[in-house]
Amino acid sequence: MTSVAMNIAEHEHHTGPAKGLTRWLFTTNHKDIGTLYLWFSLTMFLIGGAMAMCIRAELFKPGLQFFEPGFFNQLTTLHGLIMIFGAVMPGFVGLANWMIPIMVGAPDMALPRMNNWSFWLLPFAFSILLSTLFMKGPAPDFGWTAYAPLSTTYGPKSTDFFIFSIHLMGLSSIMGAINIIATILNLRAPTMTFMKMPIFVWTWLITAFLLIAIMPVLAGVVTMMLMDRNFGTSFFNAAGGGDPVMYQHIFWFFGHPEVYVMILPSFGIMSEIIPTFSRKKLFGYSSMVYATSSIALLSFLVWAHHMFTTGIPVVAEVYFMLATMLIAVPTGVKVFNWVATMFRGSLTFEAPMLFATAFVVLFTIGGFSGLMLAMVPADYQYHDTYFVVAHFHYVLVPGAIFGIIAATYYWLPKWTGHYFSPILSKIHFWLSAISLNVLFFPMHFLGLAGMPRRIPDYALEFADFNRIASIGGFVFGASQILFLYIVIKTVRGGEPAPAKVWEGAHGLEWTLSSPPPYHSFSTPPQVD
Amino acid sequence: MRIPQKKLIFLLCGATVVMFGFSFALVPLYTVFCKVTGLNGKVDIDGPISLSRYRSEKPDTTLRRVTVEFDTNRNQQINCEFTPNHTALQVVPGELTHTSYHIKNLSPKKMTVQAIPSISPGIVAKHFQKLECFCFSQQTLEPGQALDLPLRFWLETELPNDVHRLTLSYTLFDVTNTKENDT
Repeated sequence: MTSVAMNIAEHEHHTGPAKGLTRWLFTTNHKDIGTLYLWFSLTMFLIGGAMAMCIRAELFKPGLQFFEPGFFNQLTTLHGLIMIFGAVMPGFVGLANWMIPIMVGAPDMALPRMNNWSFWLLPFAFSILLSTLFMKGPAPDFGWTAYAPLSTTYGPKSTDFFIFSIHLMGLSSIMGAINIIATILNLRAPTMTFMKMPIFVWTWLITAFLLIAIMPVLAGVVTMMLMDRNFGTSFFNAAGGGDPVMYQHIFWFFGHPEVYVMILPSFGIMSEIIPTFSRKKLFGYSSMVYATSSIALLSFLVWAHHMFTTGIPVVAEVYFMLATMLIAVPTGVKVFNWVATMFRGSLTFEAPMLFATAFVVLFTIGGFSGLMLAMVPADYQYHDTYFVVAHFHYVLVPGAIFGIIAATYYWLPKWTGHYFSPILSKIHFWLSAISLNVLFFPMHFLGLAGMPRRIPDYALEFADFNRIASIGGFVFGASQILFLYIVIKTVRGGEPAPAKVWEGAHGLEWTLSSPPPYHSFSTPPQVD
Repeated sequence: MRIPQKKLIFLLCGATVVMFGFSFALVPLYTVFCKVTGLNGKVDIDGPISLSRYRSEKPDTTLRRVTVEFDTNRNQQINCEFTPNHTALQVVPGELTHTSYHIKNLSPKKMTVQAIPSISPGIVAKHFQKLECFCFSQQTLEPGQALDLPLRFWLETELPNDVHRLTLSYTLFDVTNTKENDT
């Protein structure tokens, strides 16, 4: 009896990862699944990025160079879908999987088997989505927003594949969110109270609730689209008593909180990195928590600011304008808190801190152009121009993407046990930060001058700024190859990292060795 | 605050199902919201308002006249003529007005069409009452067949005083392949 019991105990404590491919297929380990998510995200980022390169090549000069307008529309649609659902969201879920259990002192995620499933849905979802490119007839070509009737009456046959891939992605996100909430609420170390939780964990808790509230709505609206297309219903068809504008209402009820899903975890990452490299505590921890919660709540009340030009009444426009501007208040609280954290700190600028600093500046620029777009009279000019493209790329690339890159640099020595090359990472940063502005800043001017979005050709007066943007785009794209190289190089070797990778870092993840053991925190740690 | 695992998962899955249901509940909510507030210029096409409702209308005391313009569109340029017999009428609020539309099937095939009304400014829609409208049903036209379609409506006397002009627009949809009752 005793020897059997001891055997089991020994077995439990000393199992490492299984060998071979099945390790990744059947794994229930949060670190393995986090790694899978992160590699998946990077792959999708490069595929979506390749599409962006095609778009910028086509727009390098006026006239049609490489693609037919129809294929250009497919490129913009898939670029958007892949970047949002394939790169940013799985990237954040990967970080959550890797970090949340070891930040709250949990042995693993609360639902490890479901964790495996929620990852493995994604490769299938995106195979379905990408396969539409190789089908007879066009791939989805209506923009990532899939407005009716473009996606219903006029949608290509492949739209049904798009709908099912969205269903799978939604399922994966919802399961991921349930898992994260269960882990944070139930598996925290007993002494870790809510207001002692790391801020990254806080922002992910709020994001997970957002996901549970909105992903089913997206699933619902694409289900209605499916029914309108195939089962003769008229949700969005005026001839049968439906209303195409209603599609936009339901879609943006999902879509606006979705943009916060893509930024709140980034806020959390920055609130971890900035204190570490300022060697100070985060300024205003509790105000950060409340600001994040109020951003999340307000995000449900502003959806129609995407629809100012659909003919909604002035009263509604005024309400949505003011509610949207209100979001600038909690966001401003966060920006000021980051600046106050840096103020009089002993700053050093390793790669994560460089990206975090750029995030604070560039995300704020994107936030301000958002405020400009929120103004109804001005929005009538900006609507569907490159100004909008500039705005959301300024919040998503230096916001979400820089967030994931900064987090990767911050925790990569923890994950691999090796420091990355300081010189290469700094080259990566400066190339990215400069080319990003060369790429997106001219788009503001293009939009103000009236260049519409989602077009493969344009009037001659837009040629100069488009050429500048394209050059910036190519440099930005190429510098992400450098990022891939740095990551692979660090995984394979490098200067060994101690448990506490960064001297100013605080938190449970830095009490574990680098790389951490395959199974960590079997007994909950003490949190002071 | 620790909720037992099973209960927590049950609650979270429940929330997911509720939100999925909510997305479908938004459809009737949207329709009701538009009807009550008159947003979107959506006009009822379910059936006529009863005559007794018209008789209970109080006479308008403001001596005003409102210009009602009639406008038509053909969705996807379907092959038929569709025009108002009057492009605009001076209407006294509270008085029944009669007008008609002309429709002719120009295609060589039998065609079933449905007209969908919309009113601009949208806020007026709830004061625009129809006693008789061809939009309450679908019309089936033989090839080359022409019809005069009647419309009888009144503007409620509660119509805001600052409304001097409104447009009733019909869009004609071809519903031959999706008509409700195949006869």
